[in-house]
Parts: sequence; structure tokens; C-alpha cells
Amino acid sequence: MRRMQHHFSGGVGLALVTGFFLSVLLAGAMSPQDPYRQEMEEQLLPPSWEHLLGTDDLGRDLLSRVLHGARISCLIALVSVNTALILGVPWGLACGYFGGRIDLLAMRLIDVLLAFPSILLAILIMAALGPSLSNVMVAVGLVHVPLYARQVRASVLVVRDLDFVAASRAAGATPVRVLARTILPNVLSPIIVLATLGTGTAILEAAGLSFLGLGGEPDIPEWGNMLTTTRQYVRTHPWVSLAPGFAITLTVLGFNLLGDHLRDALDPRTRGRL
Amino acid sequence: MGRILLILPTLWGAATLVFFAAHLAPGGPARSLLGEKATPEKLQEVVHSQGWDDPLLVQYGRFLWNTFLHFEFGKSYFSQREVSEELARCFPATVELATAALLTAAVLGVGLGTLASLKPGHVGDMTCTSVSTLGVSVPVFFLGLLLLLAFRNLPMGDRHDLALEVESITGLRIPDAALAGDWEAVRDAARHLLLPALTLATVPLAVIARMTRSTMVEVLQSDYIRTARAKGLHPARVVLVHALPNAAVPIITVVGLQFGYLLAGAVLTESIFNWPGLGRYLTEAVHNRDFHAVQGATLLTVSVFLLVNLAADIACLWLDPRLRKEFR
Amino acid sequence: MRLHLLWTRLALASLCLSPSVPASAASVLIYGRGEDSKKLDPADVTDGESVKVAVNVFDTLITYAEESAELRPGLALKWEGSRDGLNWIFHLRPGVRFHDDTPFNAEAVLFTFQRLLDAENPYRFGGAFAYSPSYQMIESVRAVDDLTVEFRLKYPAVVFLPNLAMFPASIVSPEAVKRWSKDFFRQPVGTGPFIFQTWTPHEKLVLKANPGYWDGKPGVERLIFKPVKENTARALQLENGVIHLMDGIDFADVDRLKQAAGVIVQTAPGMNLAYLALNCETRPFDDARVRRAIAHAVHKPRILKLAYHGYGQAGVNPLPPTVWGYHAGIEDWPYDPARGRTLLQEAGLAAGFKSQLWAMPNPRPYMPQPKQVAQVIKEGLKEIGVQVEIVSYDWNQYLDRVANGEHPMCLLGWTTDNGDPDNFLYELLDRDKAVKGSANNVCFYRNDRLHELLVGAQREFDPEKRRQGYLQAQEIIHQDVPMIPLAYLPLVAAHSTRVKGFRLHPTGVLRLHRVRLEDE
Repeated sequence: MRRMQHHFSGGVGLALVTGFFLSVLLAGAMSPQDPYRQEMEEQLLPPSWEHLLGTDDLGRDLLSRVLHGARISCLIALVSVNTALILGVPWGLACGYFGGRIDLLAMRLIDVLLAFPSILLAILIMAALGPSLSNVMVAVGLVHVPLYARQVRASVLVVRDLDFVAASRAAGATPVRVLARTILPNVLSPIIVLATLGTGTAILEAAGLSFLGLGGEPDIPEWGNMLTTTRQYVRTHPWVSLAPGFAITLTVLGFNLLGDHLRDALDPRTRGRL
Repeated sequence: MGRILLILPTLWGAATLVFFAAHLAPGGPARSLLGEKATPEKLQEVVHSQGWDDPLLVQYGRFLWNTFLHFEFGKSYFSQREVSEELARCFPATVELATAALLTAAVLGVGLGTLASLKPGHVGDMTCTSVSTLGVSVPVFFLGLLLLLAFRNLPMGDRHDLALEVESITGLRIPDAALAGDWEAVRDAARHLLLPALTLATVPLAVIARMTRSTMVEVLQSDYIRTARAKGLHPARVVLVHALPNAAVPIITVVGLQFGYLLAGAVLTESIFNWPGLGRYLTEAVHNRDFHAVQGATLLTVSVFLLVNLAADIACLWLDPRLRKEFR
Repeated sequence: MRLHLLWTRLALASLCLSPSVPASAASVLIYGRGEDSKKLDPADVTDGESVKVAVNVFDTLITYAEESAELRPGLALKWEGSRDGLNWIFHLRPGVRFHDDTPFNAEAVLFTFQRLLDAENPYRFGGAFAYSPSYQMIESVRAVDDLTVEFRLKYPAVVFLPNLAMFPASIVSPEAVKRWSKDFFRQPVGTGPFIFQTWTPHEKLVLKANPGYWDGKPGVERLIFKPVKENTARALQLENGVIHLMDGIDFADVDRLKQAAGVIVQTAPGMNLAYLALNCETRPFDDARVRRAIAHAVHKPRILKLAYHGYGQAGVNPLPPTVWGYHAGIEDWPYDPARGRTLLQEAGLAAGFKSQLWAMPNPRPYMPQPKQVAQVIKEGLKEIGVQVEIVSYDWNQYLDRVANGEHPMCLLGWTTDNGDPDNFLYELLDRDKAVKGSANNVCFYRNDRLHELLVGAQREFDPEKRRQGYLQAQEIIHQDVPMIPLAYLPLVAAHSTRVKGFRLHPTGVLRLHRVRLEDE
């Protein structure tokens, strides 16, 4: 029963994520209109055959905007997850492998960073960098760095003293080589799980920052941005909020379900129990 | 006890981070406040009035001194008022919202979790699982809009009807109105509080429900519950009187830990409902690049977050002697 | 599960079903507007939202008639000028007291004007005095006796009396200014119909009735100004009775509001202007050909249709036709991207260029939907190869930065202070007004010929000769295109049917002491 349910939710996650990537790839071909084009005669139209999701307050086609929003969210996810990986993974590897005082200090720093609620840390970074969509991506990435570092460090601690690592070290490999060739491949699966779950979170947090108006120009079809610029219409013209709102929800849900599924599938300790 | 000592370096680290965030801004704080083309005189004037022309270490020392010994963050550049004065005004609004959300989340979360635990795998359980999965996937800001759509009779935002004036004693609107005996104002405030509190409650509700479910499943399988059932006690009595109190400790811990999240999570909720609290103050300050205000609001939130979490830990130790031993 | 749902439903129902009835006996009028005030010191503000509050707290020596910009006695009962127009005697209204219970007298008038005119005055407000050129004709002010004041002018000036009716010349309480000094902007004390009570930024600004007001006790006990940024949200709040009176209506909402039960929509001819300012100090806008190219790329009919929903009139000159002296003979530069591209080519910018278009974040009376306007302009500019990024700041910051000349192009507008052409042309385009930090001439346009004409007209007492001067000025401006006038708007306000005695004023300034609020 549980197992079936588990496969089911993993399947739903996979389907949602596939849908997301399809709209990323085909946004250009599938959108009926230019997402920026305004039709003054067509403001706030309800969904119809011509505009499947309706139009917004500037007469822009919502389906086109939501589809292009997927591209922007994909970009957000790529930039922020990669920022977090590029900074967080080496940090965690180094701390876990070398240990000692530097490790202690670095872990204290991570404790401080994790003591901040993540949205607060992101807002603080935005305050320093200034509002724009690219800064939103960087801020979300930076917020995730300590999470990745901590996870990688923990995984490294597990494999560090195993025989094959010792063998590699005995064979005279430099620490960088040991880390890259021997340790990294063995801590890869938790990183993949974290990155999948992190993609959903990154999209969610970036949309949140945009919703607060920190995402730069108001006409960018980023989902959080779309929600915040039209939220005054929620009671009079609800479709304007529903389209981007469901787009975020389904995407985040997809990545979360898929991430959970991957975690269970890749983690040997939970494999047998479900 | 180690936990209490750990909070001090963490606070210090947070203060340091908050301080240097302002100075990391491209071109320095004055430049980002006034823009690219500010005249040198104006720049000079602001730099001087805000004390940004002293050596960085002196500024840092002064910042720590004022922050931790006087609870002062300087004047907001835009409103020309003391940041601490403005924080004192906004903070109660956030506390009221977070408290209401916590109560909602605790009551609904424990209820839902308990129901789910009665028959694992059945409808109640599935509901619980779906609600908690959805709870962490639906963005708070979209959920708020959905609730506005669903409950059209409730206000779109604000904390109360401006025409109803109530003397501020606690700064919390509902207790103040109740103290004044103005039931009209109490009801008005409750109407305004309902949707924001419900919105903010979703994430903690999901967490609390999950925790309650897993703890209760364990408790319900224990011997003494089987005994109670075997004695023919009413099932409701078994659950409410025998099982739930035994699952209380982990649940209370989780509830306590959620309060800190609520204070921080209020940023988005306050923005949706135009709630005049700390979160909205912070958002405005970031928009204006009003660094003293940003520093004050961030540090206050982080401190409260840390203190509340600490309090939750201590309460948990106090409730459960077994844990006390482990901690030593 | 079901039980819980039921409980929540019951709780919700009890809250939703019973409509809230304001029970308090005191009548409270809630005024919804697009933004908060910036400061409340009348000498230190230029933005409409601050003025809106200031005129209800303060009085001026001379005031306007209720429905026109004609002058009427205010704190001065009567006044007379000498033959050469250089000496003016004002007889003050006796028995008036400030809200702090200090007496209003010649001393207070003296104090107010010294504070305005002397930059070294110890009680000077924070910033520079943006309106100082409007009062630069004043040589000295003297108290003849307790209730008589004499103004001595440097040169005869037609705009002297109208400018005394403008809000910067509001009489402030000397005691309060001394007491609050730099904080006077948030503790304003005047003689006006309403007394300042509290101000919670971005939330509410509360005034209470001045029972001893010389022109009669106000019709409501309290007056609350509430900022609600989004127009549609504000309109909904009016329909739901959360606010009683609002300005800044989206024209898209006018029809719905007219239909709504319990709501009255009022319109009146306005004296305002919405425009696109080109910063003539920055490249490439220092070249008149580039500015004209931009003019050819702005699709005004589209702006009117999209952002003004057919209300309003396309702008041609920097003052509206409702103000005398408007040049009806000037023909506007038509929307013609091809011509625009040619002009850019002539200016050596065949490849176009990149720039920024600044747009205010919130609705203004002359521009209810600035973002939409900016969008249309952005698309038009694309047609001539000019790529712009739309930039927006918090309103207060926007004004500061624009007055500082940081923008290449910005949207802005103007509502008359006194109904005189001088208040548009001189105020918005004279070189005297292009001082960084306090500029109203945000085009930073400096034309000596125009300056001569405008200053000449200020000293000309023959109305026909003045008119000729202003017509010539408009021709120069039309050729030089420092700004692109976008629209003139009628004034629109909406209020609950409970609100009685509300009238729009062409200056857009609303004194609300005659407004009453009837019970439901």
C-alpha cells in the first residue's frame, strides 16, 4: 500500500516536472502570443478559446506569460542551484576531509547562517545587492550554500576513513585528487537529492522575493512578479492570479515529490523498508 | 545549558552579518541610498549625518554598542524617526498575527494528525498526508490570494477599521479592544485577523500534523493503549485521555519551534494583507535601501527567532526528564 | 475531520455574516489615497499627498473661492496695495488661535515669512525651499501693529497675491516650530480646520476637528488619510465602506463605480498636466533633434486609450486649456516613428541608443496608471530604435532623485497651485527652477530667451500683454521639446452617498471642513 502510494506520488512528481521542462523548451512554439504584447482592447478578459487562461490588466495573454514564466523559473533554478553547488560543495568537501580548526570555524559560520530564517537572509542579501531578477537568483543561491555545505560535509565524514579512500591516499594522490576522484563520486547521490529538492525551494523562494517587489521590472513574466502586480484584481478578476499561482504550485509540488522519491530510492538505508 | 551560551555567538554573528551587508552594497551605503548621480555635497551630508565617514571598525564597534546595550539602530533615513521607535510600533502587530497563526496551526494540526493516526492508510490519513504535502508546496502568497477569493466577506487587508479607535495598552489589537470593553472593535479586529492567520498557519500546520501523526501511531501501538482498549473504554476516551498526553512532548516541541518560523514567515503574509507589522516594515525598508531600518528589523526578528527556539528547547527539557539526562 | 471543518465553518460564518456597523458616535471620515504624505511642514513639501494634509491643518493669508481659483480673504480680512504695486498692507483676522492655543498675529506672519525667505534662519526646515522663486519678489515683511502686516516688494509682480494663497505660504505657529524644530514636519501646528493628531507612516494619518475654527466647526469629528496603493483595491474599499472618499480612480473603474450602490462619482474640469520629461542636461537629450524624435515616438492616442480609458485629452502644451493663456494654435508633433528615425539619424544616432524611463510607482491625480503609460512609451521608443528600461522607486525617493537630475527620462505631472499660467510655465521650465536638489524643472531646461519672457510676464500688469508673452513662450517650448506633454485630465473623485458637501476644486486641493458624514 505505502509502496504503491510512494510510486504514485513519484510518478506525479515526474509528470509535473516533465510538464515544466516541456513548457521551458516549447514556450516559444506553444505560446499563442508574445508575452509582452499588450492589446488595449483586451484587458482583463476571462478565459476563452482565444485566450485559454484569459488576459491581464495590460491586455497580455496569460497563457503565453505563464509559459514564458517557466523559462524564467528554469533560469532561476539553474543559476541559484548552481551558485549553491559551486560554493557549497567544495566548502563541505574541504571541511569534511581536512577537519580540524578550519572545519570548526566554518561550521560555526554555517550555524550562524542557518540561524537566520532563510527568507530573512535572502531579503538581507537583496538589501545589499539591490532589487533585480538576477540579484534574486544570486540571493536564493547564497542562502542555500550552507545547506549544501553541511550535507556534503556529513557525507564526506562517512566515507573519509573507508579503505578505498585510504588506499587512494596511500597511492600518493594529492588531497584535491582524492577529493575529486574518490570522495566526490561517493557523495554524489545525496547531492542529487538535495539539488532536486532545492530546485523546488529555489523557485518558491525566488517567487516570494519577486512577490515582495524585489524582482526588478514589473513586466517580466516571472510568476511571483505576475502575482504581485495583479493581486488587486483577485476578487474581481480571479483568473489573473490563478494562472501564475497554480503554475508555481504545480512546479514546486513536482520537484518536491520527485525529490522525495529520489531520496527514498537512492538512500540504501530506506530502500528495503518502504 | 550549552544552548544558552551558544546563542550569544550566534547573535553576535548575525549582528556582524547585518552590519556588513550594508557596507557590501555596491558603492557603499550612501551611494546606494541616494543613487548614482547624487551630488557630492548631498553624499557628504548623508555620509556624515549617518556616521559613515568613520573607520569601518569604529562604526562596527559603535553599531554593536548601540545595538546590544541601548537597543538603538539609528534614525530611518526616510521617515526621519528612530528605528527602535518604529520597531516598537510594528512588532506587536506581528506578534498578534504569529500568535493567532500558531494557535490555529496547533489546534488544526494536532486534530488532523490525531485523526490520521487512528487508521493509518485510510481516508483520514491520506487527507493528512495530502494536506501536509500541499501545505509545503502551495506558496504562502498564493494561498493568501486563494483565501481572499474564497471568503469574500472578509476584509482584503489591514489590521482594523480605521474608524474604530482603541487605546493602545498592549499593542495587541484584540486584547486592547477587549480591555476597553469595545466588543465591536474586538469583532472587527478578529475579522481582519482571520485570513492572515489562516494563511500564515499552513506551513506549521503541515509540520505539526505530520509530527502528531507519527508520534500518535507509535503511542497507539503501545501495550497500555491495548490494555485500555481491551478494558472496553470508549475509543474517544482512549485517544484523548490516554494516548494524546503521552504524545505531548514531541508535539509541544514542534509547536514551539514553529513560532520562530512564523515570525519570519510573516514577511510574505503581511505583504499580502497589508498587515502593518515588522515584515512589511522590513520590505519597505529594503525597497528604500534604508539600512538602519533593515538592520533593526532583521536583528530584532533573528533575536526573537533564536530566543523563542531556545525557550522551546528549555520547555521541552523541563517537560521530559528523559531528555534532560541525554543532554548532560 | 468533519467535526473540525464544521467548527471552522461556524466560526467563519459568525464572523462573515454579521456586517460591521461603525458604532462610535463620533463621525470619522476616511479618505483613501494612493500614497502617504512625505512631510507635513507646508514650507518643505512639493508633492500633492503632503499638500492634501497641509491645507487642512494650515491657513493662508489669502485663500481660494470654493469652486474656482479666485482669491478670497483667509487669515487676512482685507489687503491694499500701493499705486506702484510695491507696498502691500494686510489686515489680519482678529481672535484666531493656533492649535497649540498661541495667538495668531502679525508676529506669526513675520516668523513664517522670515523662515521661508531667509536660508540662514535658525528655524529653517530640513531641505532647500523649492518654492523660493515664487516668493523672491518679496523684499521685506514688517509688523505694523499686532494685526497689521506690511509686505515690501523688490519689483511689482502679478503673481504676488496668487502665490500668497499657495500652501507654502501657510502660516505656522512660531511656538510649535521653536519647540519641535527639525521634527516640525511631523508635528504640524497651524490655525486650520483640523488639528494634527497622529501619523503612522504607510498606515494612517489622523486629524481631529478644530472646534474653534474661525470659518465654522468642521462637519466631521475626525479625518483619517489612508494610503492604499492600488487603485482597484481602493475602489473596492470604497464600495465596501472601508473608506468614504477616494481620489486616484482608475478610469477603467469609473463605470463600475458609477453603477455601484452607495457610491457617487464626481468629475470637474482639472488644471493639470501629465508629461514625459527629457533631461536636457544628459546626453543624448541635450540635442533638440533627439528630443523631437522622442516626441514622434510617443503614441498619445494609445496612451489615452490604454491608460486613461478615453478620459482626458492629449497634451500639446505644458499647460492645460483650462488655464488662460493656453496656445490653441500650436499643432502637436504627430506619432511618426519614420520621422523619428530620420531625426535620430541626423543627430548621428542611426543605430538608436539605450536609456532609462523612470515611472512613479503609484497613481497620481494626473496619471492614474503610470506603469501602463511607461509601457506604451517603451514600445513606441522601440520603433525608433531606442531601448529603454523602466525604472521605479518608492514615491518619496522618486521625487528626491528626479529633483536631483538622476533620470534621463521620467514621467511626472503637475496640478496648478493657483490657476495661473506662470505656475506651469515658469514652475516647470524656467532656468530658475532647474536647481539640483530642489528642481521643479526636472527637464533641466535652461533657455535664456524663455526666461526673459517668463520673468517679463511676471512683472506685466496688462493681461493682454502677459498673454502674448505666454503664447510666445509656448512656441519656443514647442520647437525645443524639453518635455512631451502627455495628457490633461478632468478631476475625478468618488465618495460614499453618506458623504455630503464634498466639492472638487480645480487646483486639486481639497479642504474638507464643510464635508459631513451622514449616518447609514
